[in-house]
Amino acid sequence: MRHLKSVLALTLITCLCASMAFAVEGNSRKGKFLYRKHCRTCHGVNASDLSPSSKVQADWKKLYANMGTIPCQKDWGAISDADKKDIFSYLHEFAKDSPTPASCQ
Amino acid sequence: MSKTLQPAASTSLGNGYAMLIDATRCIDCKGCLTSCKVAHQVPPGQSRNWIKVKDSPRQGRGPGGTRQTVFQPGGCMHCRTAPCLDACPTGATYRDDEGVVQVDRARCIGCGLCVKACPYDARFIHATLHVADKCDFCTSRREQGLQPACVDTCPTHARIFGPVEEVLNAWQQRLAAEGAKPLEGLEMVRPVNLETQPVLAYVNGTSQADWPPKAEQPAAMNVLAGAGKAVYGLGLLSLGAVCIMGINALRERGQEKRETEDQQGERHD
Amino acid sequence: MTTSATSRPGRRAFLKGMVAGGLLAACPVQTAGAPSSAPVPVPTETVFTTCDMCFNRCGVAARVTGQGKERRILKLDGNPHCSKSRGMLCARGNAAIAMLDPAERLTTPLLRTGKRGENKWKSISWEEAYTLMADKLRGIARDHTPCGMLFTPGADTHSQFVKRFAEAYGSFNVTTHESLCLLSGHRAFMDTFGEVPQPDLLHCDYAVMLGANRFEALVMPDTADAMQAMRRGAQLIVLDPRPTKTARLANEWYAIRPGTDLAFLLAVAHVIIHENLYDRAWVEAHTTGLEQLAEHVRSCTPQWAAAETDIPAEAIIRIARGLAAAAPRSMIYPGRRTSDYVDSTQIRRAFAIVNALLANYDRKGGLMSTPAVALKGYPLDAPWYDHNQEDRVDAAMAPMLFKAEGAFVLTREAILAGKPYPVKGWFLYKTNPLGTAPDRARTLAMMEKLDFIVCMDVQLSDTAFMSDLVLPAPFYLERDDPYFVVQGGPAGPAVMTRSAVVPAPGQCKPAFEVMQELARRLDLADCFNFSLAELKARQEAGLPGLKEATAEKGLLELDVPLYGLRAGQPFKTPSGRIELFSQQYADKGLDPMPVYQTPAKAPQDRPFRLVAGRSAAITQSASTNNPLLFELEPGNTLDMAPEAATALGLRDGDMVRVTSSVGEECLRLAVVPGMRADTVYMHTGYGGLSPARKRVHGVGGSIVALQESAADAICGNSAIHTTYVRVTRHTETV
Repeated sequence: MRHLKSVLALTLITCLCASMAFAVEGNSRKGKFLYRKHCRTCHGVNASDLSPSSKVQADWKKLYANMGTIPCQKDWGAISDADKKDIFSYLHEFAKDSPTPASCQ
Repeated sequence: MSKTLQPAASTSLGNGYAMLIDATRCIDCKGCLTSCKVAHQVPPGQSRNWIKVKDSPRQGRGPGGTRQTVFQPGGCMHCRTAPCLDACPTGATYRDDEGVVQVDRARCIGCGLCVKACPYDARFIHATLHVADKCDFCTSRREQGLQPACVDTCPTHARIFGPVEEVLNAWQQRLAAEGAKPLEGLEMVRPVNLETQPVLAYVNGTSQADWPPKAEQPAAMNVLAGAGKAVYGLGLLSLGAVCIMGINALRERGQEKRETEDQQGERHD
Repeated sequence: MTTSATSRPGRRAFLKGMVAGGLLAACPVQTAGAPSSAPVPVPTETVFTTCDMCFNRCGVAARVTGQGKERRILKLDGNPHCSKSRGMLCARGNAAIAMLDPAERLTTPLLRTGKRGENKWKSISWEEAYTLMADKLRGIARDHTPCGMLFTPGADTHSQFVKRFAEAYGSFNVTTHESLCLLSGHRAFMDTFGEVPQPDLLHCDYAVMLGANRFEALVMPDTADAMQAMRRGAQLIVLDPRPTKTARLANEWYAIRPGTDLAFLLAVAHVIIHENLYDRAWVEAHTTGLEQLAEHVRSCTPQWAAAETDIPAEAIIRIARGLAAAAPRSMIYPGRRTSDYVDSTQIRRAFAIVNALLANYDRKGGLMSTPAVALKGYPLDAPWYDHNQEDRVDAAMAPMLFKAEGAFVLTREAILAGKPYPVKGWFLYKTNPLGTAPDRARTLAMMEKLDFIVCMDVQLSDTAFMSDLVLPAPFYLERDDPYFVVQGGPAGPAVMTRSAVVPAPGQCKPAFEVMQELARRLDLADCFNFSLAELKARQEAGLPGLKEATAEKGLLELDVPLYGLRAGQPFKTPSGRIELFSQQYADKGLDPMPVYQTPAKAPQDRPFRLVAGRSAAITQSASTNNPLLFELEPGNTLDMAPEAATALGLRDGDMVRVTSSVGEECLRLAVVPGMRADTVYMHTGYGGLSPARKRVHGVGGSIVALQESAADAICGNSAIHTTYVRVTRHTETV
């Protein structure tokens, strides 16, 4: 138990220093919901079939840094900056080149 | 009195079915035990087959490729000169046209003589049916076009089964695939060279150090060991007939005597 | 003794009968008798399905007779068309048939009436069960947010529906059983190669297994392929403190000191790098960090490693050279269960790193990149709940937690502490933490903190036994499943499925149906707006030939390239290369390359390290009560070295008491020649709590009652090789 507690302490300290250096730092969980709500209504219906795995992480990051270049931006409506961050965080996390977790199978 | 069997000269596997077991492939996973048990509804605590272990675990490298541990699956050897056939008093045990040693459950009286006669300990008396039981090379499965349950299930394909020629061909192919030189004739196959001429053979130099177990021969069998079946039967029959006749004769004689005594009222010695 | 070729019953037998038993007229002459296999019934039909007795998912050919209520499975055989399983079925696959006996099964929902653990139950209807669950889940969501409900689905094709429900309900707390097993290895290989590879043992010429026990812990096709490879001359080297069957069948075995794998691997890397035994062009083209690695292992000499591992330096050098000479058809076998030490992720990083030096990635005989196979489905449009927690309850407890898997031992701590927020309910499907998670007492304590525990299983497992509501699930032979992908390494990927072969007993319901109905009761019907049949139809539509192949052969084997899949694309790592040196670890304050530490000495009063594993006849806790398997493994023993037993005055067969810092168990001792003197072993799945699992109830010892709880420092995976025990003779006190 003592051992476990020191492990926990260490990991908590570590987490405070940790940062996903190459990630987009939003809430990817919420981003999934928002993506479906705002983007999926067109993409995959009228517009190009876009999903997180359509691009590699570097490209999502680039796009997020230059949102003005995105052609459909005028159709977005009122999406807060926080929401945009969450959406790109989701797209980045599940991008084509994001590490592929395996399952038990 | 127990009898240890000596290796015989013949290496033939006959011309019916044969089973080759490469015990060096066996990992003792016991899949064959469970598969057989389910296929034949063998009662708890009993088994038609087994895996023997020769084991001396040692760190480092095995010398010159010799295995330190061998798991040796076994079962009825379907011998071409099967002691169980001779031991069976009712003929319930017989060898069918395909060379498979069978037990006719309707005929078996559960006397257990065949269990004692088998030098491989391959038989047992079925706990609920009270008849002799043992491997039958999965007769029913073969009729459905399936391999025997133990062969089919083995994860490392340690067993090869089928008509003798097919088995030997398959073994040749396997040797070739493994990069080993296929040998001529039957020398590549080294069956357990025992007097009973089994059709189950072990390959790849499986050790026979703890094989076979000592078999307990019934006393009647020992007295007539080496005699022909006809002689045996006839001899016993005549012996029995003589005994019966003898007993009858003595009885009759005694009866006559008493009648004579009764009639005469006195004995003349 | 001569015998006629066909000895037929007749006159001779008649006479013999008379002689033997004086039975003058007892043997009527008969025509040819029936062979020994009668009167076992003959199957009339073969139905293909997929085994579920372990994670392997071997193809099954069920031999069936009868229709409707009379339908019976007579035998389970391997599906000869299934390459992944090499057409075979192990003892457990064969023994599955025993689980169809209703006497072995849960058949109705059960509601606890007494206290937890009193074994007092009331059969209730599914209607009552749904009403209760909906009510409780609504209450927990209202009072504790949806994250107040923990979901633990086991390794099963219906688990995706439990996860789907959890997401729809709004709980982030999905903690799978993978965090008691796989995750350290997965973390390490993902962070090195960007994915988790499959080993190609079939074509490998030189493989080193550290702890993996493939001839007992069966993995298909690895087990069959390892034997096949050995038969053609491939070398298998095994490092294991126990003389496992794999160790005893290998070309070389060393009883490595537990906890020193990393020293061995660093020394191997040292030899390979400093003797220049690697493919420089390949390594430079595909990896990053070679220079740092070379410097890192400069002092990791074979002599140094020999002192740490108890493996002769000469052997370490020879093995390193053997690996290099056979490269790229050589490997450090990645293994499967990696839940060993608090630095297991780092240890497995060393596995991955040495493999990288062998230049075996994505190549025949090495580590295979995973072919991508996607099945169509119904995407989930889950609602978003503003009234919810920020993240999983264990999110901050490990720097590189797998978000979708969590870490059970960490989740448990969080629940016990009630921090960062309380979790009050638990839904389990087809998993048994009281049988498989270390420190059973701690799991019991965690359960005491929970208001509502639902456990869905086929039998009253220990966890179900301690739950509030128990739901009866069908066994795999009674169940329809969606299609699922099975990776087969050199056998290639396949798409498999299940269709019910026989009806389930009683009122068993599959998890899909239960989660769908529960969703409907919570106004989440949209999240399950399809039937299983519709899902399968969609999957079939998305993969031409799937339906036909399944009908004909029981599965679809995909004809896809198996090697050279990366085809020059970057690896899915931050650098795009295989990371010998991990910058992302460094950024998180973790060692960028694995750093070895001599294992701490055993405490004086507990000199033996307790290690875990299994035999080929059992999986984990679920299989041990199976009557056919129990016959093969009728309880467990504590395995101990002869010299250690002698020193304690113990003999083979003695009842012993095993004591750790968290528990005490009694079981029989088995003296095992070749075992390391400082190590003891016992099978998992015995010493059960649940009286319903009568064969293992109180029989043998429970390893989880003894195992101390520890977690991998990086991903939180369980660490179960950190327990020390003392062993004494157990004397009964009357």
